[in-house]
Amino acid sequence: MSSKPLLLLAVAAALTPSIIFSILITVNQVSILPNRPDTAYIFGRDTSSGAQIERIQLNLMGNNVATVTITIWVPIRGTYIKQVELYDSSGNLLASGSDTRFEQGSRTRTIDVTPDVPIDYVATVKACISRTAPCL
Amino acid sequence: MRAERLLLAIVVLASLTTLAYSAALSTAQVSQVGGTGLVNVSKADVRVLSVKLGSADFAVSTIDVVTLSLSSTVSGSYLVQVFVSVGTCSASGSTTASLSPTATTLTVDVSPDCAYSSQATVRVRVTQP
Repeated sequence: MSSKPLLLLAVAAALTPSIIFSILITVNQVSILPNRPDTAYIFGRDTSSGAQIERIQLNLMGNNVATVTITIWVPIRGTYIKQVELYDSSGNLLASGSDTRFEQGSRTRTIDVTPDVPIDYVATVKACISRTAPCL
Repeated sequence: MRAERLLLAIVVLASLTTLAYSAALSTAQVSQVGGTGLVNVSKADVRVLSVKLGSADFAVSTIDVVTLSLSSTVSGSYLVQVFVSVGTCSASGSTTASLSPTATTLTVDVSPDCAYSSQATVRVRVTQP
């Protein structure tokens, strides 16, 4: 046997354990690291009327938040403005929307937010409700 | 003769490298040759899609439970922690859940119960268990 093939064989044999070790170690050490571990939801409550936000849901179009659905409880009927705001992790307002209409009891409203923003940028969701002055 | 010596030198060098690598893996915290410690290699975008306060269907007066809808771009097991703040009341709860790109609904008990009497803040933290 000539020395060149023998040389290649020896090198391959010597390196094989290292290669297998590297693959095993790489696979075993994969761990999941969430990009942004914290998300905050702020539920507004109108203490004067008792109207309150009870559920907030982000609705996606692709990866963007297009609308926000809120469930409210309104014990005193009247005209209420509902606002939703989306913030990034630095506290910058990314998108907002609002809806004003007559409300009473438990209601679910879907509010358009503009502009559409990628959900992965949204760190804080704020929804609030307040009663508007009654018309005379 | 010269080729044999070269061959011997390479085999010895390769063997020593393998031995050193194995010893490092067995006795130290070396995860890769040339590196130290563990390296997180999979980044996940965890999405909190919805949050609901309380166990009542409507007219929630007490926050004893928080219902969440979550997804993650990387499927796996996650620790989900919930922190509730209403005025001076602070409550928390946690659970371990398997998340995937498809939204999962979780109900997390929080303790102590907080009266829903003013603006409530729910902070959801998702980490590795």
